[in-house]
Amino acid sequence: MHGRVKKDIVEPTPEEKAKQREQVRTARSLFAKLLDLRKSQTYNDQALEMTSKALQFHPEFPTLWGYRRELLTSTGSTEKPLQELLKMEMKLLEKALRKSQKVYSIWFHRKWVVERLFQEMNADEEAIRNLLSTELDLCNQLLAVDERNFHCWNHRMNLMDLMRTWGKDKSNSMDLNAIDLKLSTDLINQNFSNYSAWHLRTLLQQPLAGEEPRMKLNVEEELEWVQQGIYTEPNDQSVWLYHQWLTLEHSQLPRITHCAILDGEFFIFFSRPVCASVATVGTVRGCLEAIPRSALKRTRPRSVRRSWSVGWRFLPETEAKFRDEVQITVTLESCGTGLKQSTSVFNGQPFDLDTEMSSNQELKCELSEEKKEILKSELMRIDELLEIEPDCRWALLARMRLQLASSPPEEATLSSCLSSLERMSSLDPLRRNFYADSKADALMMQSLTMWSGQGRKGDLKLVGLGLKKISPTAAAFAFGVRILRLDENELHEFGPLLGLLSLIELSVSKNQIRGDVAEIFALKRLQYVDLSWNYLSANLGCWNPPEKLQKIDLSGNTNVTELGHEKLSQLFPTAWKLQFGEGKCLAHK
Amino acid sequence: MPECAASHLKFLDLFLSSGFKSLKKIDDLKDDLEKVGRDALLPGLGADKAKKLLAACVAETSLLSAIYWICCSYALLGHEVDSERRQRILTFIASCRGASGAFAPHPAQREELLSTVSAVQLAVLLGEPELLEVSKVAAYIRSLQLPDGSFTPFRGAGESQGDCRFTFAALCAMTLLKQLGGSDAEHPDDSELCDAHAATADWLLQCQNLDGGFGCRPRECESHAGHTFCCLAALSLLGRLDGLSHRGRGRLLRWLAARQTPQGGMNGRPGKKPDVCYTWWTLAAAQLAESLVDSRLSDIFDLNALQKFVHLCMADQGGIGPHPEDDPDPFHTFFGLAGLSLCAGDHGVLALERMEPTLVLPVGLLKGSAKVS
Repeated sequence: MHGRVKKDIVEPTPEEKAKQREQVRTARSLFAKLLDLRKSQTYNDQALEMTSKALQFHPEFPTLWGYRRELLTSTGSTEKPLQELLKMEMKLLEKALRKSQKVYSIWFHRKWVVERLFQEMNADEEAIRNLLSTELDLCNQLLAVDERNFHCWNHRMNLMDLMRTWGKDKSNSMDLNAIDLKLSTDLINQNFSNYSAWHLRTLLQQPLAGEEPRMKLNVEEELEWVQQGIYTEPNDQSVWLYHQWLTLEHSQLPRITHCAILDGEFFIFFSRPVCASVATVGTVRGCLEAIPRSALKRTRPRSVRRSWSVGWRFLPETEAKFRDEVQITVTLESCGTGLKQSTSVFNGQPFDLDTEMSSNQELKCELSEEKKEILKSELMRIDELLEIEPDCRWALLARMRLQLASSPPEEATLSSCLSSLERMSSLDPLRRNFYADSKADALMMQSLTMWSGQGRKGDLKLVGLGLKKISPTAAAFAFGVRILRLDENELHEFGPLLGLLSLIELSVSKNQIRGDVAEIFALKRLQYVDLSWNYLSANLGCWNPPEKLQKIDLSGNTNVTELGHEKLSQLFPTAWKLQFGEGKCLAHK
Repeated sequence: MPECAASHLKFLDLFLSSGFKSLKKIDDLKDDLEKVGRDALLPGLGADKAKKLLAACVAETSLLSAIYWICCSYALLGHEVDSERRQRILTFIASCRGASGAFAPHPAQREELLSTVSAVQLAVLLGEPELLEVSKVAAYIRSLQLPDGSFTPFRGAGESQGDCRFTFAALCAMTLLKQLGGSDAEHPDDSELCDAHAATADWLLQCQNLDGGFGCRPRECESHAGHTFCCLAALSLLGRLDGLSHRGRGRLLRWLAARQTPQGGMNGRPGKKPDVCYTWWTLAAAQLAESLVDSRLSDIFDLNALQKFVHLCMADQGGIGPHPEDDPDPFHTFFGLAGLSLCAGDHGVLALERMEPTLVLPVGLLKGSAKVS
């Protein structure tokens, strides 16, 4: 590779060189002249013609295209009517686009001209239809040259958008969705790896800004067709990404999974993090507060700050007691994806953590029967494929995702996931950390499920699983746990652990937790806590341990221990004993 | 490998000086103009060869940005520009300033947003805030905002639709202008500004697709690593990264991780070849997402494999090209080095200054917060 040779350049003869030099000289002087004319705001036919020549010779010149826009819109620069000029412009642009298909300034100019034409011919239905078909033809031709040209795709999207807006108040508008669907189908049939065409297909079926999707395709038929692609090119990601979207991502709204009572307070949990604000429980209205309350980062005024959480504390407007089955209605805030406010409704019995440990809480499957059937048949198909293609990592990944989505995680499912993860990690070492994280998650789910299956009593042990983080959903599932051991993992922060308000005993020794010791004092029931061998620090200002705290181990957190015996002993009430020295830092009543 | 840094510097020096030489030539040509008959102006040229020969001419369309890429590469390599060259650069930047206070890529051309951002970044890089008429530049940029919150590339671009590249560029420049001493007189009052920013943030959030990446405009464009960077950096400048839904964060992380190809380099979209410039777009985007997803760059990517790929794209004579064996250019040199600066940590082969991902400048040069309001 060293001593590189340029592949496509043949050394020109001296005569050719001289000729090229002359050509460049001429072109440059033309450019220079035109730029001067533009600066002096000269708008006339001659300038229009000269820019046209210059741009045919060299189309990658934004300022000249800009000059042309000025020429076209300035009154008196030419006798010709604007519509005629714009149509000539389309011809010029077509030549330019055939020469250079990936230049922003040419596409921008095309977009500008098309938009002007839409305005000019707005009332003339036939003209607009002709314009659409000219543009679509051009796009189709350019996509035939490069099926992934995103300039062309984006231009086409913009065009269809203009068309949709234009067609809104027309009686016999064209079926633009059918045009999109056909293009997508045709391109995919030519090449199953055309991700751009799959993107168009998902857009058609995606609900936008709270509206209905543009099209509803039959999911089973789509899956059937996708199978062909998978068998043609089992290791291509495009088709698998669409498969995943069809089976798992398709229009799932977050829902309430359960509710619980702790210390007389009412808590509501969702299937995934949401932005919530108000709720009605039974007949009582109230506000919602995220648990754990969002950390100390305060960068924006309260009015625009958003908290995302799985678990929410209900703050009723009037005093209320809840015991029996209740109906809950929660308003969810719009959140980025264009979804407007939505509501989530739930009927059920709260788990009363004050009187007894609830023994029958389980992770419920949130899928409809129809969806379950689809997932089941897809799982069978993927198993068949894996018999022929055992090293297809996309199939392994899809199988794992489908398994986790279609059933409450059982022992057998989880162990099959674990072995798939091992396999994927060796097939795709670039993303080994991802598989390692998923493995840690699966192991955690295994322990959680087992603990839950045994009546959610006693210690929850998640020791040495390689956990880098606890997902908010897992933490919500464990809500109610009293004794939790998370030693010897790789946690970076307390994170969702701070939402486990039921904790009496916590041990997270030998992790990599950074932050302030005082964060953990948000857990007001804590009696015993082991934070030894992390990277925590202690800010003397905000030290307010929970009343019931009996013992805290801070050994091995060098930021804490280097404060010294004297400062540290000031942190604790006088009755406390502090064992300090040789890395040890243990305080107890 | 200090000799590696030296060869990059040599490449950048050479590019800069030949660039200035060819600018001089263009000026000289104007004098010849009258000698050339009109008929002789446009002989039909063979497209491909002429295109390559015209390269020097073409570079004009992003000349000011090219100077920023070069100066920022110097800063990354810890190199100070000598006083003669510095003077030349300063004179050139000043000559690109138009009546509006905004900048053109070349004195003969028109003011536009991207060159203006480059000029603002250069003013910070060179420590020369006097290059800018801060309040005029700020007013120019604000005039490019559309009612939906997005930005267009120049005045008179029409009101149809903005684009996330321009939206990011505008916010980046406004943040730097604020750091340079603020724009006050013509500043709209706070609530108005707050509303405009809220609209921009919503517009940007809607650029996210269900695959996790971001497209150029809301709800239609395919996800692209460059556009994903622009949207995340813009949201970060607005302090609104938390507007991303939790599922959106997970998908974003998976989409970014999937950009690493078996060659080690990053691509910009599924199924495409790796290219050095995506080192920056992907890593900077991932670094902005780090705080949201509690993952570090080394958890998401194989940084050793990535660095190996970038090193393969380095030319013997210095500089970096898009792919192995390609000729180097300042654009890929800059984005390659900038990308490496993010994954440096303990793996770094080159000693590089660290880049700030939202303002695309070395951390050491910046003061004040990377927030637009």
